[in-house]
Amino acid sequence: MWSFFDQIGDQFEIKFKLSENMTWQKYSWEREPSAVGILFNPDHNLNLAHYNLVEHLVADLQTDPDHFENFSSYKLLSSFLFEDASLRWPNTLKIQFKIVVSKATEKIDFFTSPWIEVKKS
Amino acid sequence: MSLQAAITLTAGLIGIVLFIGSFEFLLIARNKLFSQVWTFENLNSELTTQLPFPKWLTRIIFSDRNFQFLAALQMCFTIIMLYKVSLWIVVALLFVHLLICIRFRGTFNGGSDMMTVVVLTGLIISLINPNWQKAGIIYICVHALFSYFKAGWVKLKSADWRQGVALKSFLSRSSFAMTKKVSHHLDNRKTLNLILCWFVIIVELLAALLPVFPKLKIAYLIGAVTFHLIVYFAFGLNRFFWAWLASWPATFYCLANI
Repeated sequence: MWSFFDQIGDQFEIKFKLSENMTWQKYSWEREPSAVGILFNPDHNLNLAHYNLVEHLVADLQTDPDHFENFSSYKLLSSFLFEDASLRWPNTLKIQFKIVVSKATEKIDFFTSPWIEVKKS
Repeated sequence: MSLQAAITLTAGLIGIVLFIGSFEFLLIARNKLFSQVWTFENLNSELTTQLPFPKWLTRIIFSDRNFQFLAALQMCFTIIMLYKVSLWIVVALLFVHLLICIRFRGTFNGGSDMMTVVVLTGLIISLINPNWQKAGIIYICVHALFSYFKAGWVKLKSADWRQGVALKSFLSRSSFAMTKKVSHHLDNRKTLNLILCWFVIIVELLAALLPVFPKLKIAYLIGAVTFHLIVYFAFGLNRFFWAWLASWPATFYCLANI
């Protein structure tokens, strides 16, 4: 799978909320460069892998939008967003996210997840 | 550079790529955003339906704990290869690398994983039979030069690149704030954008001329290393830098000798 950055393509944003009465917040993929990053850049590479999940889920949803919960891309992305929110806000009990497609002149809500709740072990 | 030196240097550089990868995976495995996310439970449906293995074997190979084992195994094999290059150790590294790529549903780090496979495959061809040493090195060289040329060719066919809007757009999508600032500086500078986009296209396409003008190889190597460094600073793709560097001893040898 060679990627040559030839097509700009659509840009995807993730927006999330942690309760029904919260407004949608934009998820930031922005990270600080690391001083030793040319040798070891694990957190950044993991961040890129998580961003790629968004593109992967969009591609999966275009094949079978009705059974999104079966896709690994959905399971991985929803787990990631939930865990990330739990680390930032330890009281997080549930999260809902949506994928917004940014085009040159407009933004379109492409997919909205159901509420994802903490797993009870 | 002798053929043997090209093989040894290629093995050394791909060893660095794989060592970095293993070390990063071992660090990542301790991150909660990995251990709670990239679980076998989340990957299960895709791995068990798409791989031609029995479910019990898939469960063992790709279990959460075995991911760390695979990363550690790759690190051990890499250290052995850096000490002494042998066919079986390169085959073992390719096998473990592919298992790790499968766990990440294709690749973890895109093109760098693909180039790692190319370089390891070329090394295997070189080590199978002494008469095939050159064939393996040529295999790596062809892939490396083609990767630059193809990158330029697809950009040439893209209107966004030809019209000078693509580079700014890609820079604006970086996860580094500094790169986004550079993208903002390019706003409303149509001529500069056009020059930069065409510069990238032409430099990448020039790779196809290297076999005809091999004297340009040192200049192109310096340009390629600079380009990969810029990509690292702009997007943080460290493995991309090292993986392509690993293809250069073979490319350099071929351009000098064949």
